[in-house]
Amino acid sequence: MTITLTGVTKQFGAFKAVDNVSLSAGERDFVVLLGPSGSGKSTLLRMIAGLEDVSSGTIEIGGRRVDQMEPVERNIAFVFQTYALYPHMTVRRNIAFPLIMQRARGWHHLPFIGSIFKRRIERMPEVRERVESVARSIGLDEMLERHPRTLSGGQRQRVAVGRALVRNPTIFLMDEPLSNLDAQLRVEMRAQITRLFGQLGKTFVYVTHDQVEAMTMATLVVVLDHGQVQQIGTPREIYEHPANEFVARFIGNPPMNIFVGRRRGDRIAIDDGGPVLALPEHVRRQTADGAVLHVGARPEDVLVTPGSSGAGTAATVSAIERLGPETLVGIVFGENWQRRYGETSVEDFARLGGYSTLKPGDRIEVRFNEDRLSFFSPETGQSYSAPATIQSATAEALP
Amino acid sequence: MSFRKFPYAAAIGLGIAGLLGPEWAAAQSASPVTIEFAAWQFTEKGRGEKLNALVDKFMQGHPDIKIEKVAVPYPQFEQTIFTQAGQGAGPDVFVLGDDAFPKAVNAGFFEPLGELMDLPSLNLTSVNEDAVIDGKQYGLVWGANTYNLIYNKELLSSIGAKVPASYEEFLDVAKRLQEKGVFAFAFRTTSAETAGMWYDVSNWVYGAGGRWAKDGQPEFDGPQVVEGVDRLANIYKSGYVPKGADAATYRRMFWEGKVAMFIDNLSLPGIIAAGNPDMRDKIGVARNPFQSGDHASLTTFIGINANSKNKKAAAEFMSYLFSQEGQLALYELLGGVSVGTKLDLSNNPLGGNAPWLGEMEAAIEAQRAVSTVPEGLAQKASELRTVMSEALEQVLFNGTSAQDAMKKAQEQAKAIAAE
Amino acid sequence: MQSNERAINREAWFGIAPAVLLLAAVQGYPILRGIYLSFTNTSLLSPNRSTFVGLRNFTALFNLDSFQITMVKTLVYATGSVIGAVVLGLAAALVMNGAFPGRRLVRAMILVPWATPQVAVALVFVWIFNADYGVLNYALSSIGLIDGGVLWLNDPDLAMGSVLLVTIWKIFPFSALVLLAALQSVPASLEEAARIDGARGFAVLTEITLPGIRRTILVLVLFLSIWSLRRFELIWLLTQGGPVRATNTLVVDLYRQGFVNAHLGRAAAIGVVGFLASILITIVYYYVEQRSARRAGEA
Repeated sequence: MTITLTGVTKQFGAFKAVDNVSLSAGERDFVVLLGPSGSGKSTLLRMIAGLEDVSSGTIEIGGRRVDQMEPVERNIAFVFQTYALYPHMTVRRNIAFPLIMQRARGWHHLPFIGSIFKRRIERMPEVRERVESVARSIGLDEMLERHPRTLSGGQRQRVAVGRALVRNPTIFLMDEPLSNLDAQLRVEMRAQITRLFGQLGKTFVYVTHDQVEAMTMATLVVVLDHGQVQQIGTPREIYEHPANEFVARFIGNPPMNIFVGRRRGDRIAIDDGGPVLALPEHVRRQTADGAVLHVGARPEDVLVTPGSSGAGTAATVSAIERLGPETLVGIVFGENWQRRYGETSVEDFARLGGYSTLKPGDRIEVRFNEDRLSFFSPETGQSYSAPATIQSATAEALP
Repeated sequence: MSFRKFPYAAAIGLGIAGLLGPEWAAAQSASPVTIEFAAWQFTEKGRGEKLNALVDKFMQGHPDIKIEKVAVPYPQFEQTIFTQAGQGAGPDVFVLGDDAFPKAVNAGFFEPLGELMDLPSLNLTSVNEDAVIDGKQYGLVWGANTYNLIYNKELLSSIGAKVPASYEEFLDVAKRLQEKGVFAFAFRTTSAETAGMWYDVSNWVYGAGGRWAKDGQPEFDGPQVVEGVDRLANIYKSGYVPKGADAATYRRMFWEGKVAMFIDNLSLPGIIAAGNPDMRDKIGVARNPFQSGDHASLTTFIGINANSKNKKAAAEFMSYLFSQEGQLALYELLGGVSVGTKLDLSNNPLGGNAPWLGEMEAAIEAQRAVSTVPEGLAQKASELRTVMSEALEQVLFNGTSAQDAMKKAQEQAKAIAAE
Repeated sequence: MQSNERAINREAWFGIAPAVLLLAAVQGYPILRGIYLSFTNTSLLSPNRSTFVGLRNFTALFNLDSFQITMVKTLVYATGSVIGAVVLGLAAALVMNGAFPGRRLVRAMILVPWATPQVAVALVFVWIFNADYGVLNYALSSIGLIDGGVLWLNDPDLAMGSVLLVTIWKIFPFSALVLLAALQSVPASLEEAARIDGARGFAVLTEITLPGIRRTILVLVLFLSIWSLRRFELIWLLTQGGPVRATNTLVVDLYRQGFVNAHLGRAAAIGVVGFLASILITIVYYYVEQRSARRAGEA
């Protein structure tokens, strides 16, 4: 099912939790809504689900306008961060619940007397078979008579998924499903969800603050901050061509380094004795000579050689982090490479493969991989890159 | 014991000292003796203020005796006193109705007065002999009261009726009053007033010529008893009575001119006049509107608690109450009811304040007083009262016939009498 | 046990001794004495003179058909007041759970009936229910629902209803606040998940919310039931157990036997019956709690 959001806004009084979001996703897209806490991503998901009202704008699923419909009418699946399994029901009943609700009449909901009817519905062949086949498909057939209390975190998530699947929904919504898990389990469950996505062939909309999940699972990433869309694109586009400095530094660990420099003719000189780099034509077109610019370079595009051979720009090591397979080298152009405890500073890191013996204070040579740099306006934070390669929904005039 | 145990020992020691402390302190001081005096009259309008004043006057003349006034309303009076006295406590001096008096004496609640007071000098009336049991004077008469018809002269004359002298005349007057939009009568009908209900019903039963018991055997189903109950139920069902109003309410209704007649004891005119001074000249007292000429009497006694720790002080107070001065004050307070001693009424303290006195005396003269205590069943009075009030409630609210209700009551009464 | 442990145990006993003694004196002794009294023929007027009469008080009690009425009235009163308080309390709790202007004020004001002493409540309602001058009759007849003096407290058919009304009015705030606290512990995500699964309004309440607060409801019912067995002042001051025993519950009967008729022995026997009833209720509660916990997968 396709999903289309047009100008969706959620307002609480004067505060806009979601501000004029528009996006469009096709069938079989794994859409990830990515952003820090408070960016409005969960609110946006809940509006798609129907758990929150839309202040303005429209939501369409499969071409059908749904923003005024009750959640159940939208035929969506929703997996909560805490799974929201019904604790007083067995796994079987949890999974069967949507089917029971479909078939139950008014008085079936009464306590005590109602349970007889509900049990009867649960035992109806069509319900029973559907529940068991769904359970089998996600490996829960041994646990149908157990209660959620007795299940592990991973098993509970599967029950939540099962309950979501049983109605054959058109789209799958997931609200930070991996946040409650430990690191190891998270890796495993990431793979499981991707597999599920592959098996089902339905559109997924997935909320997370973890850019690793976004990068590894998404077909389309929507980066949000303060309720506004920062960039929409594939993981590769987001990574290689960030639309603004927020996106640049939100994706990637360690984040993209931002160097301040000044345009000199058709080149740019990084401050504090940094290297002088070539300035691409589209950037020259949009800037004045002598203007201050921000240059973005990811750590893997900052190349470091120890010593002072003269092959690059001289720099000093300000910090060293040896991770095992690689080492992160903090570099500083200029004199002040010393860092004191309590001093706030943003480190610029370079990636060096293997285990390095460099230490803070060592002299090094730095070169940049000039094909892969990004250039940002210091006033707006927006990238100067060619608009054709960027799909940003908040089109703002570039300086 | 190690030093660490000291806090515990100290705590226990302090606790014991705290419990015993007050006793020690009390024993040390020889300051004024305090005695408690309990009477339900403290709670009644008009009478309460006067009784207060009387007690205060005593205290002025006797600075070494302090009296604590205990005011318990009439419906709870007997239960409250009995519970306290049964524990060996209770007020030092208290009043008690004649229906509860024998039971109290039997339980040992009253101290014989012969040793404590100079009885021969008091000039007691003959009614006091009712408080002599086994040769000992256990109490003195506080007030010898009877129940009579109290009516609103203005209301009756407004329909041109004279005071009814028989049940038939009563019904006629009641009907005419009802047409005028006024309640003809009132009596206690709420379950909270079992004690008072007994007096109300007794008047009707005696009025029909019946008696509750004979020689210690209850006769609740006697034909005249049933007749009396039936008559009372009849006026209730005819709507002549404000339903659900308790005594305090219908007395107020009377002095506001909404109820024309009721049968009550002789302290009532005073209470009515205190409630509404404009009614003073409209209050009429007459004999009960029945042909038998029997009416209920209620003698209230006063005595000294056998458990009292200050019997001498109590006796001094009693002596004051039975002095000429005290008796005159009591007479005025009670509104003209006969007190325990023979009074010289040449200077009647009520004077012009009680224009009904003459009628009152005439009414008393014209009737025969019958005690409400079932003959020979004094000990079981309160239980029998409960039986009676339930039977009355059956008739009034459940539509049971008087005949059936009293038959059932008789069975229960006999069982109680047999215990 | 090491000598150190023994010393600590002794100190522990010292520490709790005052509390244990207090409980034994204030609660334990009266219960035992009451049970003893129920086997004797003691009068209120001489409470220290007792003659042992074995089970006679009890057999006399159960032979009286008025006592059977008392048992029925007690049952009616207990079930009526508990069901009323729980249902009304739940409704109030559900309302207070949602956000609306003035919610804090409502939450504070709803406590007023609960905080008012039983005596004050009874006296005021005696007047409200008064047949001729009461506000209730006045209000109802001015909107034409009734005409004239309805005897709320004096009509045997209405008395129990009136007493129940006052009782429920008085105790529902307690149940509302307890249930409100329980409601707030039900995660909102559960109710949202149910909405997504197709449960609407009432269904969410019965499928998700009520099972979520099941334990609280059970404890509430336990407390309210036992308290209803003990509630004396309200009934006594309103109707004294009448008219014609229409509202004569166990404890009212006990009072009358003990303090009006002065039969302490028989009163104590009624007390023992009430005591056994409370124990029975508690046993039933445990059984029901265990069973429903097992069914909800919590046991």
